[in-house]
Amino acid sequence: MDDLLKEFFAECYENLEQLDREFIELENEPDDRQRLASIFRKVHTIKGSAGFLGFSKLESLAHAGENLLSLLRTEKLDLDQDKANALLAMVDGIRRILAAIESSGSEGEEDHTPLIAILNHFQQDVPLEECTKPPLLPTSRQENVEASDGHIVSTIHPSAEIPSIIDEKSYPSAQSETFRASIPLVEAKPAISDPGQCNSSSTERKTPIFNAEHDRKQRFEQRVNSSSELPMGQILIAEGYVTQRQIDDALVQQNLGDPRRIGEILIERGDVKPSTVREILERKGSDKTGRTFIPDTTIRVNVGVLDQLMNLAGELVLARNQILQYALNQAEDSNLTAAAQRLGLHITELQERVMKARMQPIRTVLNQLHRLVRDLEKACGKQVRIEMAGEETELDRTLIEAIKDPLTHIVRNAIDHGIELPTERIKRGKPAEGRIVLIAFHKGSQVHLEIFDDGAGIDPAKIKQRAVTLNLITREQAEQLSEAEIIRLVFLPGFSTTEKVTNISGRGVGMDVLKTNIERIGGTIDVQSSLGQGTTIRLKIPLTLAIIPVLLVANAGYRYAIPKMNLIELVLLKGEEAQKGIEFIHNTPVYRLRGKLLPLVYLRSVLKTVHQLDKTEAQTNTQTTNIVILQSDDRQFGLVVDQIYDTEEIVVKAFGKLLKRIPVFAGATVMGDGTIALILDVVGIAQTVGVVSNLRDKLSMDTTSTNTLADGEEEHREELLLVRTPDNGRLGIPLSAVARLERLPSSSIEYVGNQEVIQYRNQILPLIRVNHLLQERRHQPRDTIRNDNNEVMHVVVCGSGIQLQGLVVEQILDIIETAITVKNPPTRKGILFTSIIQGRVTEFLDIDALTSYQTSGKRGNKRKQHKVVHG
Amino acid sequence: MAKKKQLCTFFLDDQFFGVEVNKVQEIIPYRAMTPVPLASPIIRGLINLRGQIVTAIDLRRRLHLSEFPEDKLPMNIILRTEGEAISLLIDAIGDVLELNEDIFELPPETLKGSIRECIVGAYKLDKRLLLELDTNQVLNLDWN
Repeated sequence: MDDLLKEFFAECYENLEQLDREFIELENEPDDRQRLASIFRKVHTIKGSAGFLGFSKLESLAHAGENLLSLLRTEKLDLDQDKANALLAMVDGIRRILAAIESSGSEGEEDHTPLIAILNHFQQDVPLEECTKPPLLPTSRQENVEASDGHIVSTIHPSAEIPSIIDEKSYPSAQSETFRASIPLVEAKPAISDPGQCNSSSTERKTPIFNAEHDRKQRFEQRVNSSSELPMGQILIAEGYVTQRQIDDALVQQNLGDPRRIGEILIERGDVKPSTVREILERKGSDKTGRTFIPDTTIRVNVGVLDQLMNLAGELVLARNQILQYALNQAEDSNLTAAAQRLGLHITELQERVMKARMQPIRTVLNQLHRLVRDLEKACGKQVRIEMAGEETELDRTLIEAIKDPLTHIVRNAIDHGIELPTERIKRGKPAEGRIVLIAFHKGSQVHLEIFDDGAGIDPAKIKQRAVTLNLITREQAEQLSEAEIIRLVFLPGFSTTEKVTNISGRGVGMDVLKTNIERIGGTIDVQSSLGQGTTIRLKIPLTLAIIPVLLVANAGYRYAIPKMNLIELVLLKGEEAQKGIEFIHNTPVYRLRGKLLPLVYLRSVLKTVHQLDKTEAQTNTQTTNIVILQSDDRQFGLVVDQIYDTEEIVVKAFGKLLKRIPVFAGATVMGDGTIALILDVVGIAQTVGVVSNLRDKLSMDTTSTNTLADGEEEHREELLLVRTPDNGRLGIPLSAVARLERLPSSSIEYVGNQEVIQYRNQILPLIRVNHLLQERRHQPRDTIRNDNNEVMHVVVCGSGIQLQGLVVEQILDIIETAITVKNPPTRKGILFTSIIQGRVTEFLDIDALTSYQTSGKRGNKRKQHKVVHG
Repeated sequence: MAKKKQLCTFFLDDQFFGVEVNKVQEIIPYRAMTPVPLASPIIRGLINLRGQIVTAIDLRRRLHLSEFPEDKLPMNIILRTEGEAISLLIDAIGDVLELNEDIFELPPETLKGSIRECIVGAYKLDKRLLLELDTNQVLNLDWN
């Protein structure tokens, strides 16, 4: 594609992007003339370029829209929803033609004449009968004059337009001179007009007074080219704000020695309003062609050029690192050191500026959302308003591309699933119009995007049910999850809660793909929701991918880089501390960091490298353990490495295509000394090791039972199930160990050997009676309060998966969350400790005792068991 | 008029190979490599080529030949592919030869294994066979 075409496309797409948003804003504020003029200009430009390049279909489509816009602009017509729809349809049509040109070189097969007909039809909505021809206007049509920058300067007499438009319909697309309709370059606001007239509803505009206003402007516009040269007084007269007489009086005053300027004098005399003078001054000050907007201080640069600049900047950074290293190593020549450091500073700054050049405000993406919301709300029959803040937040260009789709997806979801129908909302006491709020801001080295909707929220119960139904997790696992974790289940692959898949969303491939895409660019996503009130989705995206600060570590003699973004802190354990500090739960190493248990991951295991443990170190107990505490996705874990070096800034180089994406690596970099270091992908490591999900489940089961270690009285809140034992005692069972609470019929008890069992959900559930499990201290059993209703047993099902056990208790009392502060020594085996809960002495069950009871053989039944085996 | 082809030749495990000369970017002596854990063993590691990170492929492993001897350090043939540079580890470099098409033959049936897929054909030289490598196949590690 040659340069001219490339320019054309770039320009068109840019215009189309803005057009979407501007149309919607125009719909909300139909009287915004600046907006309308801006839209008009864009469509006109597109039409002109299309004509120039010979794209006749494009030209005629744009032309039809332009005519309609022209009438809207000169207020012959009012913008209503149908017209807006048609115009937006035109925008889409233009896009399609452009796409066709891009791919095939031709304008495509689509027939746009129906759309053109609609647009033309609207033009026939003949303007206002009351529009009297202002006497001062020339009746002949003004000729168009093209200024050197391609913009047209003068205006066409409105009344003459109408018949010609009707004729135009029968013309083929060939341009006729007269219809390069005008674009006044100055958007003069009617300064004197009564605000009531300007913003009034459409019916009111059909008044002659307004036309007088209108023609004053026309007269002014004819002078537009010379306005910057005219003195203030003449302009005021020309525009009809003051009379000659008033000017003369003011001039006299000046001659009498009044040092002020004409404008000021007139203001003081009340002849003219300050705002008028101000406005004229502004116009005079603007550039010669009379444009009021800020002159362009930007230029368009090919993205490829910027990319090359980025690469070069990156290479410079590497070279700088090298030079700095050499310069700092040899301390003799201080001049060299100083020069090297100066060089280093400049290169850093250069690199930062180049990076900044690639940053774009997020506005470009957000603009498209307006259109999306508008289309969707109509498609779904809902009313939705989208508000945004922080559109000027900047993001690297490549990342902007990458978040377009995720944001679109999120907004779609919010409208499709989140915001309820207006009737539904009113029933719930919410305003009929739903709100989506999107906030973007910088925090640390990341860009945060928060999207909030005040819709129905996510129902954890439904999510849970759905996940179980789809076999994504088991019922037992589901029961153990907290509400926040349940909501996060929506990110599992294959999840979708709509029974009916709509065009808009709900194919079940949504949220997990979203999460993957966000993570692919190094970001994170989180969901929070409040049933009935709304949902918030939070995205965190790194500012740029190319140059990042990292921590260097060593493993098996090679260096690895860990992005500082994921780094929380460093822990160094020496000798004995190293031994003691690392505990094992279910064979998984963990480290207790200020009371919080963190899973440990050994880098050498992840990378499967072979190690020579220093024997002498091991023997003399001087082994040191380096733990890097990392964060992935709101979960923390510790990475054990051989050695920790310092932090540096490095340039990320992606792997070649040969190294098929290995999850634990995010790329490589060349260090200052020329060696290569691989960059670790923290999220990848966490996922590979399964750190984030499995271990967490295990940990939550165990944090309550491992608390009798050295630091005895920790206060942490636990959830407990309180039950009554047959001897009317109270027993507390950590809720995390409990899978379900059941009432099972006693008649269903069967026996395997001497073990009571019951058939439970396709499993054989062994039943253990509390008084069998816990040793009775007394020699005479207390009066057991018999549950005379022996037909039903209360069973606490503990364990997970297929390792379930049913603990038979007398009664299930309560589930409470409490901080256990006092722990008294246990009174019998099977009990961890006792405490006072709700005013009663309560024993705490040792879950391990329960688990091991099953396996250690049934008490007193050995003979019978033997019999069964050999029988 | 028989067409002539220019091949950059090299030795690998006592066999004589060649690659199209316009695919070769440069040849460098042994350079220390940074291994990539968890990658296929065919990938010996990464080397730093004037600031660029180049993947080095162990050609012996790729062609299922015997391993590089410990005492000899392999050389690198840097190939140019779609915007990326990739290195092939070889024993020793030969000359650039201009070869006549009339001595070219498709690989013999007796040549078995993955080496067969990577060979375009053989040139019958006076004393030995020159096997022309298909670089696209060599660099296609997917099904390996």
